[in-house]
Amino acid sequence: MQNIIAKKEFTQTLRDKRFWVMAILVWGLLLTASVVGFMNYRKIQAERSNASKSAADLWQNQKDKNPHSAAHYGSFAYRPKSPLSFVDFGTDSFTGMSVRLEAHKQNDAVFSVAQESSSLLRFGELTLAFVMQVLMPLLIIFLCFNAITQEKESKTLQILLSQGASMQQIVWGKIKGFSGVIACLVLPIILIVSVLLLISFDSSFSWTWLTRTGLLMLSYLAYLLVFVVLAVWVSAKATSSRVALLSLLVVWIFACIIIPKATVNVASNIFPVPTSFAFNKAIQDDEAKGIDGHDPEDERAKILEKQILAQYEVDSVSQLPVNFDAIQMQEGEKYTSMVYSKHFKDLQKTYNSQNKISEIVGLLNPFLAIRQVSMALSGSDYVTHANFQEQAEKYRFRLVELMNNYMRDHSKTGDWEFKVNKNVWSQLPAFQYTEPSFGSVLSRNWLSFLSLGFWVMLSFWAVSKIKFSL
Amino acid sequence: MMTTILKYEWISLLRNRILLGAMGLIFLAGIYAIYYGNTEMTKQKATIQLVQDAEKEKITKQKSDFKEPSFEVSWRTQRTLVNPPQSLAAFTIGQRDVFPFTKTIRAYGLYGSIFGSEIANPFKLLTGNFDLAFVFIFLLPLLIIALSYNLLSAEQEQGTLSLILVNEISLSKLIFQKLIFRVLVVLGFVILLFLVGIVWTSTPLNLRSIVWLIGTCLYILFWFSLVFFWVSYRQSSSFNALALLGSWLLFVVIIPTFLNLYLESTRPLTSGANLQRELREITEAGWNVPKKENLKKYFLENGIIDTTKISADMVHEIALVHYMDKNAAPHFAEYKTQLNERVNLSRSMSWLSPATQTQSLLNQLANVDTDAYLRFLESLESYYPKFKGFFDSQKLANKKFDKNDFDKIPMPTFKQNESKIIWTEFLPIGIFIMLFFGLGWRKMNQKIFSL
Repeated sequence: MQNIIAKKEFTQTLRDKRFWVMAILVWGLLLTASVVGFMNYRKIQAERSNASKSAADLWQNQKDKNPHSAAHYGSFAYRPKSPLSFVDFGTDSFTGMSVRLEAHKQNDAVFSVAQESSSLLRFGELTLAFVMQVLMPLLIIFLCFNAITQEKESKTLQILLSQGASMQQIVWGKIKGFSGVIACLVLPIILIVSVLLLISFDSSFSWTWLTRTGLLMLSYLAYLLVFVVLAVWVSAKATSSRVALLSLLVVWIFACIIIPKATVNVASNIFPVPTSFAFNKAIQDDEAKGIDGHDPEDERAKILEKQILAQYEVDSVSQLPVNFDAIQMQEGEKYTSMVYSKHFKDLQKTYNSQNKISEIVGLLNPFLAIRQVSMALSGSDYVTHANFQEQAEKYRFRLVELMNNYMRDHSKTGDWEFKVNKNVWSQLPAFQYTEPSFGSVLSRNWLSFLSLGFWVMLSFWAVSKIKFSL
Repeated sequence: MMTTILKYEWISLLRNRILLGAMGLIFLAGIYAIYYGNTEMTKQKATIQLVQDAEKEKITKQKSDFKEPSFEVSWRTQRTLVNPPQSLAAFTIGQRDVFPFTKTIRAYGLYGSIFGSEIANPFKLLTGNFDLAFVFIFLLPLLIIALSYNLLSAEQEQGTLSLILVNEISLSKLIFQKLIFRVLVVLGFVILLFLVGIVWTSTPLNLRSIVWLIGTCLYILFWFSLVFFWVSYRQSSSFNALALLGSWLLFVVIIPTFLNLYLESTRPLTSGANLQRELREITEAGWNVPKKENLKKYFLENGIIDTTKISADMVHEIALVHYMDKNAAPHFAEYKTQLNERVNLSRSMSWLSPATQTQSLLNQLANVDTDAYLRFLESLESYYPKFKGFFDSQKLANKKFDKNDFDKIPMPTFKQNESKIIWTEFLPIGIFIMLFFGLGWRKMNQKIFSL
């Protein structure tokens, strides 16, 4: 019986012209979003990998110079786009893409899309994720709102029941039928995304990214399933089709438009972030407490000098077999890098607390859960960006350290005319960003995965409680 | 008859608990939005105050620590320019959360300090601000739809339409009067929220804020023109509701996201990374030019003939910074041109949806869009030569910086660079309103006899 009802819903929907109008619209949007998104991704990715290469070349081919001048000359780190970022742009448009790497200074990632756009960008971007998260639920609502109410209004429900079908069979039959329709609509998209992903691999095939795509699509199917089940549930509970549609639309507006915004804004009031001014001032104040890499009159520098002299058992820096300037600079670098990392971690903690609230509210609103899951799996969430910034800082430190240590071992204190060449530059490998592991993505976002699972269970449980009522 | 209809519409509105609840909810959302916008802008103002106080303190310390006239003061002096939020920014935050609003100028190069952004959680930026403009542009149309989707169809479905038409009133008049009632209710609602915001944020009720309100009201009229358009088809309530919701989806959600997609694929991002790389090469190249060569060129270009009195080291530093700035300027100009093109294109596309057009209009009036930031950068560029020039001319005249010279350093102006009120920006919304009213009017006149 259940299957007969499912089949009937399925064929009936496919015969409905209105459904095809909506389906073609959604299809058009999905196709445009994924293909154009993919083309943009390829373009940006090519630009960034070129910029990366040229940064590495400029470093390798720089003129002969003092190692410390080379550290000031420094380099750049460019954030590569993740292979799935064309599915979900996530926070990518709001984070910088290039970091200037130089001695003594930790620079922010600059040049975000948001800073190069007008406020039009704030209306949102058309991505596959956007269509799946916001528009598909709406289509489901229009498809399912009268699933049961129509049977009631046309008095066919009693006929069905008198044929020996139970209310549960009818409800599950409907869910099955509509899920089939949605699956037919979505499955080709999964295929397209997978093909595009395979194209983006070029030569380096990656099982991880294919698995991530699979999990991402499964999560979307679960999310859409929740909407199908809930819509049928509301339809079974509602007194009329009109009431069912109205309540479902109100739920949609709250879940997809109002609650996400309100949650994030309230979270930012609960966990305020420092302003740039306060952030930089705190760093400067802390740095002032440490050693100054360039000032020999600095008190801590004097202590360091004594230590080093004792270590080499000599009386003055001129007798040292190593360059004391370089040692002092490296100590200064270590200290400022530590201070910066500490403050950067604090800032990240604040961001994470803010974002955590959205994840927790995800238990009440599956939209927030799927958004988090989608961004994380696509490699376009804030955590991935922060990870990039950390790696860039580590690379910067490595660059400066390499220069300072070379200077320490191969020149004498005060010898600023000391110059080195290509052989030293080539000791530094090019910057290579590695994405956080799949495992860490899963473990960090367990709550959002759990929320999705919870919603599937909750909606199934709610439907299983439906009894016949008129 | 007019007053009778208005009176009974009012009574039936008061009796509709769901609608009153929805209105209350949106009103609360508006109050929260005002609170939120006001807190954000108060925070920015407080930061600006903090920055200015810190700078004042620094200057006082510099003065009290001053021992003897020297040439070194220029390298230890800085001046900060600020871009304070205008009061309307509390109603629409726009791009103010993305851009820095204080910038510090030093004598050793302009372009090193020109980048950077304000600290903000990218996830929050992505989700956007819950400000009053959001309530008006996104949520208010939904209220309008809820109020009027069954404007005529309810009477049709209850069978009361023919009863009303028995009286001396034409169908079009009836629709207009019902429409006018709803327009009045929503306008009253908006003006009330606006006034609450004005009082709360102590915004002056001047031309700018009134034009801001007018912009919002026009947007509301646009939605009523759409209501009129769909009602004129005289379909069922559920048809109207779906058609209106579809329109909302189209104008508020789909068109804007499409415009962004179009912009990204046709107008590439700026060559910001390029500029950053060039700046590094220019600095590197600057230091590699032999001192004598640099000096000679500088003296020649500035018509300085008597060089006996001038310290070569000092002028070399001036010349070095001068040439670095000069070489960087065209790259920065190119970057700015690209940025301007992107911003202008996205603004000129905005007219395709009254929602994006209204947002752009409201942001322009509140000086919170990317243009406002570009103007801030321009004030930075125009102040820098004055600041640096003061020290340079002293050094070239071989005059040491004296204690009372502190007050002679040119002050940055904190004057607000207000955008002009461009009245033609209202035009696209007006055209939409006329279009939908016109189409609706035609449709209604066609069907008038087929009751």
